[in-house]
Amino acid sequence: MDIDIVAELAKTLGSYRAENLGDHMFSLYTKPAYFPELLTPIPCMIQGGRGTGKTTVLKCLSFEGQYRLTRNNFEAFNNQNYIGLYYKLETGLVSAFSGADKDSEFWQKIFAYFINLQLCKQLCDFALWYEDKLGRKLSISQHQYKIFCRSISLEEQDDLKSITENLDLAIAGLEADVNYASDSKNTRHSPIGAPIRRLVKLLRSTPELNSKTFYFLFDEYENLRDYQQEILNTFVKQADSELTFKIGIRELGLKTKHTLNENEQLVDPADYVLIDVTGRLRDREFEEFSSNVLDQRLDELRAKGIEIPSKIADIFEDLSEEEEAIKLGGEKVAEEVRNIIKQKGSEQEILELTSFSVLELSLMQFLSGGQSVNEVYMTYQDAIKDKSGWHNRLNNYGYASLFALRKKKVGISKYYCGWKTLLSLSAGNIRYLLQLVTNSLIAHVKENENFKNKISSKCQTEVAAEVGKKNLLELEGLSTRGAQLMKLVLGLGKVLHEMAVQSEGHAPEMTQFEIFAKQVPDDGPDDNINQVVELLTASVMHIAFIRTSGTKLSGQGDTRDFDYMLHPIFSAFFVYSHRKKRKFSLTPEEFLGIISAPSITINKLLKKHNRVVGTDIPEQLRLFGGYYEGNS
Amino acid sequence: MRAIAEYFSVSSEHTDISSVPFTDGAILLHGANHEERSLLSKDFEIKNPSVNIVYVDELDGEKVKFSFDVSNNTINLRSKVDSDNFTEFLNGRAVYIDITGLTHSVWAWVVRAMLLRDSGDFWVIYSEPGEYRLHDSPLDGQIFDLSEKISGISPLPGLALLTQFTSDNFLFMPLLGFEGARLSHIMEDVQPKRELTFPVIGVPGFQHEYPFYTYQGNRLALERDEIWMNWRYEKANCPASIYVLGEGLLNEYGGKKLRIAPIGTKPHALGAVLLKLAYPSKVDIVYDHPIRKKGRTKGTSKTICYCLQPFKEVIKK
Repeated sequence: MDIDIVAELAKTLGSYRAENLGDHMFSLYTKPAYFPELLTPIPCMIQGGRGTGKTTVLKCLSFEGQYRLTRNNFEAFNNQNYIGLYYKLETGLVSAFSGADKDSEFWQKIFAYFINLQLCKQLCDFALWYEDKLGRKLSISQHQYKIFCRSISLEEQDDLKSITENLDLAIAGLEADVNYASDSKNTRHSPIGAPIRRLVKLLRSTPELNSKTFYFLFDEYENLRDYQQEILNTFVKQADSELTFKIGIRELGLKTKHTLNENEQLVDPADYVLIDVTGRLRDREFEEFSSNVLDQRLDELRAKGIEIPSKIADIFEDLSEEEEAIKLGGEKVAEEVRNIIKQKGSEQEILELTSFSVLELSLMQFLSGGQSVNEVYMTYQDAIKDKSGWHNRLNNYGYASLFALRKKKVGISKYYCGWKTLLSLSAGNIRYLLQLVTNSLIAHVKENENFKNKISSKCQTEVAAEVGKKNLLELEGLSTRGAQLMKLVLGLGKVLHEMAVQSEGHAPEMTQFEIFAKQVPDDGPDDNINQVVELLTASVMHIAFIRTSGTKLSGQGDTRDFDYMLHPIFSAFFVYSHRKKRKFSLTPEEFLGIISAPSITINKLLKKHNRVVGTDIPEQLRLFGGYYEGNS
Repeated sequence: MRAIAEYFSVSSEHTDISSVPFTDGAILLHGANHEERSLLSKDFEIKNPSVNIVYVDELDGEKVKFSFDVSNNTINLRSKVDSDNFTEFLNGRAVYIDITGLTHSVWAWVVRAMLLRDSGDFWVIYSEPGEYRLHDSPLDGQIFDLSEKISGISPLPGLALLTQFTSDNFLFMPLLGFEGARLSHIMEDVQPKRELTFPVIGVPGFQHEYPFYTYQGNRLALERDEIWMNWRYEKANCPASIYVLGEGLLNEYGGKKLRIAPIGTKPHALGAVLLKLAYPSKVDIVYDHPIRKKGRTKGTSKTICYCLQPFKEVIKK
């Protein structure tokens, strides 16, 4: 095993968290296709799950990022027409502004004042940095500085450095008001945005900065409480060519569109542009973006002397359905079908056998339930008589039938391989894709292989299952509801697995679900529905589930606005189809039962869909035996 | 360092809380939860007739009732006036607080108030559990069944720090327990830089095997971001070792702030709070407020009485 190659692969490909990449983040940065939309004064909300690259994009828009992206060339940096200021809205920080028996009016005032101070401090920090690079002071009069200080209730100062220090002191002073909020008599406040705008105007009054738009880059907007979002929404609504906002947020993280003016809301697209990263990056755009990201990293590996192809798509072995059927032992099944036809068929029918592939012959047995010789023969006869009909059946059931070929057998029972499949498993999430790619490359090297040979389908499948498991285990730590999310994924994953391996005679590839409450009480949704909504929201925010617009039906209090599916990254671990296909319904009680009474609920669901309840837990799920046996 | 040396010379180990040699007329702040080790034995008052017990009842995350004889007083942990009154009331008295059954929010508030008093000795008592309850249906990395859920990350009352952290400007020191999901959750929010992260494992642990369980429980998070590279071992029941370690890191990485996640043992958490009190603008405590499971421990192993008097000087500076 070549340790150096493994280390280099891990270093060059395996770093995917912006905070760990450091300066490397900028050298590896690849602009996503939506990047040009960020370069206008219109506010943008970049919406996507964990690992979709929001933080990287925002950090690269920051003035520090832009400076590094221009290779620390101040002149080139100065040619940009915007200045980005990155601000992460951390849970611990924003949650300090609550409680202590204080009403919302108190917290609104104090939080708005804090944001004003904090963002002014960021502007000052930038201005000091800019003056340092410029080698001279910005031409702002002392009088103007004093006016600004007064506008934010600061002691009057006449230079940037002293103002910055005073802003620090004011923030520290506010700390006492927050910590001892119960008896705080804080009277200092300023309308959200007013001092910030004043300072921006001051900076833009200088010849050096007069053409720049200031971007406030808010990351993790979902961490804000409702009232805090209302405050910042108010500020966002005031965006113009002088200052604007680029916001990183998780799906469903915008808890309210209200502003402080109760008659006013943030409206898309009038007030901001919503950029749904995952939605946009799901298909061709994601493939293009990912190829760019990875090809660039492969260049870096080659520059270090590692012999590796220049195109990421060329590295992975791909299997057609036919090849996969053969690999999964379909030849044995096909031979059984051939023998049946040889016994029962006419001379012509026997001759026609050569025109059917292994996949097709094994599909015939699959469609016949694998039971009756006559049924297999009749299916064969139908296939000969109606070629186009047969072709349709092959399209509809061919892929699904692969899951049944090696069911309940030790070892790989379905392959997940090829560049397109890896993209599909990642579903627009670049972090997942990097995990799949890096771990596959490392596993390949550890098997003493070099990159003249493609990474085997076996290796890719094993890695995909491992990555799925790893992300499943990580769910627990992602939110306060993490343990429940993990149980939901475990339960639904098992149901999807059983439906996939027992799909004979059923609609193939049931991979999506909807929640269907038969009746909503007149006095509003009951507790169960509320709980379901909260869990679905958390699942989507933490990308346990993917949500897509569903078929909106009318009547019976139908809440089927959206369809949901487990994130495909889990599919190789549980072994079911990663493709977005057909859907089934779950009642709120069934959905919640997956958490509270998994064993009973899973069995009930399988019975409802006419599947045999598996008594044994599949090999890969044995680690979670405790959950599957649980009933309370 | 003198304070630390003094601390070591006067802190002591006992078989249980009844055996602690209380000062005559001392006040014992005591609050029990559902754990056996947090209860006072029936003969406590017989063995310690001169101790005045003030019972502590947590009403919610921010309100606490202190009861003494027939009087009681409800205090808001976010009130400066209440804090001053509490400090004033206990000024000059020898005060002991048993933190075993109290949440971090409450005992950290008391520790702060007592260390800012003008006079009076102050001791913290902690009883180690006999054993932790094993998980009935453990998932990968789970060994013990300790927490129902977490309430979410928010500051300990009175200890919020309104600073903007960027990945380059802070050190991160998670004090590890057995529950890896809590570490993952906090790391997800804090997003520390790998090379600036210093996970601490309690070695020696309360029991010989506990350090291994700690590693096993946190393996996923430790391995995912390779944050094991900088780990440190500090005695699980020693607050001073955390204080010294944190102070050392602050000195070594001058200019950087230190964020501590006290999700392991209570003595380690006590060390984190002492450090926060000594360096209020440089240290930030990140805490997730778990709801403890009933019956999470059985029995009592030993009781330690920490003398915090020497830290008073350091903190007042």
